[in-house]
Amino acid sequence: MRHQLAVVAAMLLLALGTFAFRLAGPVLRTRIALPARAGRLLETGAVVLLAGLVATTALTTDHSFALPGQPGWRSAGCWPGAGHRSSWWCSLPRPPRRSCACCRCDLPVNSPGSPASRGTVAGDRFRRRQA
Amino acid sequence: MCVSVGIIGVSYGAIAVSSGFPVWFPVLTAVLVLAASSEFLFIGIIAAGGSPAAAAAAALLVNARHLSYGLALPDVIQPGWRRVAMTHLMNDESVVLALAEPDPARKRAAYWLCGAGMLACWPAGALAGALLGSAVHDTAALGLDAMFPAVILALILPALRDRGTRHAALAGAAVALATTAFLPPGLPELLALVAVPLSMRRSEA
Repeated sequence: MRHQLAVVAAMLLLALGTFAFRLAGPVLRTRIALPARAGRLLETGAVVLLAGLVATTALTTDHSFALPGQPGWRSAGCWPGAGHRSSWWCSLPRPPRRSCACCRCDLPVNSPGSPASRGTVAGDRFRRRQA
Repeated sequence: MCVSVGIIGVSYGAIAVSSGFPVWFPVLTAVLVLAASSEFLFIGIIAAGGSPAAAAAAALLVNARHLSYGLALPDVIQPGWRRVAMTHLMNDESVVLALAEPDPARKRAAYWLCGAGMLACWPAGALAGALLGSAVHDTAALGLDAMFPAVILALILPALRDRGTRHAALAGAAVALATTAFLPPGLPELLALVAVPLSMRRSEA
């Protein structure tokens, strides 16, 4: 919850800062002349930043390289045992199919810990080890 | 143009909801920030596990270009009460359209029309996308995670026509990829900025 508030606060900060950038241009124009070079540098910076984002989101998954379009790089953080990747958005309402379809437990479908895996080799081995 | 922005808005809303944001978040952000690429970056970094502060810093850096937009069209921004509204409507599309018109009156008309269209289409698209994203159960099947980088690539493609910018962007992408294995999310993208001086040297040479 605290994290969620921080996200909203960051968004408001972004909105305010963006407005300040928009306002600064016409105001500054009447006072100083920004060299064309600096303007170009700002523009290139934006493109490079976005290119970096394209590269990392398209080609990596959970801090390592992945094939483009590999499923699950976004939901990876929400499964039990995901460690440090388990994050605040996991606690938000998820689409129903994300959790076990048979028993409404919070484990992914076919997870060895879910009651639906009773009778399967992996599920029984998991329960033996727990007991 | 507004229609295409609306369609990008749909994907933005759907992506935001499928990465766990509530429905109202992309819509509110679309109205208040009104700058597509920075919002994609903001949501992308937070969805990847980055801190809100890093996301806001990176997105603000993307929006720093509005400073140069404002410097480029002083005669379009009218004084008085309309100034606040016109300032908020400043975005890539409205600036491009205003710069394309020859005389001040037409510049202003184009700026108002396009800016207002954006303010209507972008949040509306985001809302549609968010509702679509939360109605469809298996959002992974829509392939939105593959769509996200594709949409951003489409947004920056016009800028990549410039040779210096293209070189810097490629180098920056390489830096981000190389460092993503050992840096917390959000930082590799910021580190990509070390490639910016590359564009200056190339364009001078």
